[in-house]
Amino acid sequence: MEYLSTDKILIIDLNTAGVEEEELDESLVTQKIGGIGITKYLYEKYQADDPIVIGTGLLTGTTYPASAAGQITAKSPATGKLCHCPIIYKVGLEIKYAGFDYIVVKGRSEKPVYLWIHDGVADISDAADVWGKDVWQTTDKLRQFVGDDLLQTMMIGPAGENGSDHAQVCYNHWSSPDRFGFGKVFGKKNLKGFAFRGMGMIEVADPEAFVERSLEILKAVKENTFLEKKGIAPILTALGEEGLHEWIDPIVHRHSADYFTPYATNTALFLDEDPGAVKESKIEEPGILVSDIHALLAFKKQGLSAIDAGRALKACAKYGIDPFAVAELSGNATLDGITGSLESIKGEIDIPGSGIFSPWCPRGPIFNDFDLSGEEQILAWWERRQAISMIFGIQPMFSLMCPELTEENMLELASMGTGIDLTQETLDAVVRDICG
Amino acid sequence: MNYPKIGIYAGSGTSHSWLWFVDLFEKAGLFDLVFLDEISVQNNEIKALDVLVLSGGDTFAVAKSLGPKGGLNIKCFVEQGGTYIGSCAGAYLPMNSSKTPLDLFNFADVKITNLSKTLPLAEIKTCKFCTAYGCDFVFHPVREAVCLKTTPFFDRENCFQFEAPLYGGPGMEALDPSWVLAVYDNFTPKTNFLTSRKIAEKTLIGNAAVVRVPFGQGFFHLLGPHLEHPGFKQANQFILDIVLAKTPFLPKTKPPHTTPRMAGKEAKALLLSIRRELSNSRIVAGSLEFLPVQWLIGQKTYEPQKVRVYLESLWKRLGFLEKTKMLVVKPGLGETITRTAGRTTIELRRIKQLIDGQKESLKTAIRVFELLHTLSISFFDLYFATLSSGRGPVDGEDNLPGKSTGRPRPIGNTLTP
Repeated sequence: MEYLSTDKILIIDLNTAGVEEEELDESLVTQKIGGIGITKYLYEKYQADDPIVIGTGLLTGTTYPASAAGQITAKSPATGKLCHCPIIYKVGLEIKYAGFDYIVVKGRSEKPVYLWIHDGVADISDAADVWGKDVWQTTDKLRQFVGDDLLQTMMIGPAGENGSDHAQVCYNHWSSPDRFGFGKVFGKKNLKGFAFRGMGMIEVADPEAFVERSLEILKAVKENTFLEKKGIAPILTALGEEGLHEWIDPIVHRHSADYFTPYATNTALFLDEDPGAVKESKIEEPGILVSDIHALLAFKKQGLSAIDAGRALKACAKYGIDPFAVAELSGNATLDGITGSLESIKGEIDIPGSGIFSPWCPRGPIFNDFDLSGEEQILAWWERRQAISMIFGIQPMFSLMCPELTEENMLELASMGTGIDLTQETLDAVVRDICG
Repeated sequence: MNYPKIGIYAGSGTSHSWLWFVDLFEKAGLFDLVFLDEISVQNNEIKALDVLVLSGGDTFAVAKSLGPKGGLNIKCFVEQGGTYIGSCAGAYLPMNSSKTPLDLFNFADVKITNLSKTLPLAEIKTCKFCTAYGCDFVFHPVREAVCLKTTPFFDRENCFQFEAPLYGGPGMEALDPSWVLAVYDNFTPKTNFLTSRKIAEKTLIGNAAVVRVPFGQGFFHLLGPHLEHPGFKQANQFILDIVLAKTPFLPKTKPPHTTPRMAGKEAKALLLSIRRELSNSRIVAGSLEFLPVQWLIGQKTYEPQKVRVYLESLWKRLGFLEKTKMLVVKPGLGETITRTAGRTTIELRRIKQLIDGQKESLKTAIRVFELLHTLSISFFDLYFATLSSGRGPVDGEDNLPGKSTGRPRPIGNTLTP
């Protein structure tokens, strides 16, 4: 697979510490396109070994707007189903730049390990120094060891190590869209997580045309007036929630966007420092980056102040547990009660629709209505939109905002970039295969 | 058809610009390259060479590390017919000097025009503006691209202009005008003036930029600018013409049939180890580039970007080795490369930790650059031995540039006027 690809599938056997590579065959892309189209195929191929499959979308890391995301595909201990979770922030594209389109991890390691993936090299590394540490300590320690603050990580915390049903795989220091208990899957394998860094290049079949067309689409995207807004509060307001700005604005430090995503879907809150401070903070860990709007809202509805909600999110991110599950299931309405209950969170969380896509994304369009009406139509649209964004590697929250990101232009750019004629019929077939 | 055997000096005191010579010769199909450090020059391994190349760096440090033995061997090499090409520091080295240890290398009666008792006013305050030279100063009036013009002593029929970058190299006055092959003719829109234009003109324009000093049966070629810089193709061709001017080259012995080869799993494992450590080093080197740090090592200032210049030079060649079926590896060379690459990663990570902890990192930086030299020399030994083994016998195929007659092109008729 020459274009938009590293041409490599990495197969790691934790039983034997074996590392192998397979070529990504063009015929597989022609049939399954990319992202969860292929991660599902790989899961089924290695199903007997209970694999975790990490993937990247066909457009991930390109100049197509919001082409930020990777994917985790695995059997969820929470639902028993094969589920797909987006990999966001800058982590998703770093997987491709680190040299692999897809990573299959099978078996179980005798001792705790983490996978250091860099420039086409896959090292199964001893995790003795970080096993038992929280997500923040682990990420900081690995960044210090590797010598690069831009190292991207997917790690579990004590929740995953201890087998919590709601253990989450966290990205860098922050909570993730993982509502499926994938942190428990990692922990069972004695897998602390992944570290990614690479300086790879992505070849494009027709680079000038690809960039030109990408910029045309981006220009159309930027016509949207919602892009004047930033962060999580406007998203919740658009979904009908009231009072968010008054509650959160006093502690907002800044907003940040995932790779090449025109809307900043993440908001950084300062909990221990004046958010308006211009000088670099002298306080270590003064705040938290929030992308989980439902978890934040759930803590608000418990009656927590914005600062306490931020502290609760921070505690969950460090412990490596789904903060939405904590908010819903802890049975506590104070910060101390919530943080004291992290080790004992039990119960089930409702996952809408087919139950295979994370409800981290709001269950419907945001800012634009996409000409939808009725709950059934909206849910069907949402499921398809999640599938499409995870096939092509589009930031899933942004894909719910932006009608200008169409299946047609995703196929157009994917075909242009690969030199392969990818059709709507193929895409429909892949979506049917994923969604059932 | 013989190819010239070219030695590239990469020992103590050199900066990264010798890597440009590697690129230049490789692109020209001249694969018979030997990489030298001060020990190999002192052991007179240069005896078997046709050409010795010495690029930029800290002239004093180069002289000190080569010492009297190295100086004597270079002298004998050229006396007996060898071709010396020195750019920048390599140009300063063989010029007559009273200063220790440069006085071990008094081979060329050439004066530098950018020497002054009183330092001219610097228009831009930069550490690259001047170097102390006893009680005087060697100052650098400009940096970046300058325009050179050839003289009738280079080509009687045609005089032409070409550009080359100046990064601290000399303006020169030669004892004999017939030694001058090219002069500084003008500045370019990209020239960066570190002094007033008037001083820059007085120091450089009309003075020698390239000289060829006869010495015994050979020549010292002194290049003020870095004609080997990859961004200046005409300047590169000028160097190739010098290299190919002297024919026939020394007769070569064919490599023995027992030259060690490595293939299959063993080769794959070796290359994976090299890739692993080069990647680890590149990653931390990349992060150092975000930090406001420089190191003064001897007389030269080094920035973190220079670390990655070495690493990228090796990295871009790794793909060829990974695709090739057979590596040519001297005994112990594989272990040397992986061990040195591993140590380089460790020391680079140490630098990052020291800087993050606001501690002094100079000693570690010195170690890093020493390791990078050792690593590069070892890697290129592997690379060019493997590359050469893919070519036919020494007197076989001829893929030199401009091979219309099968002979090297004479000097002067290949550059575009």
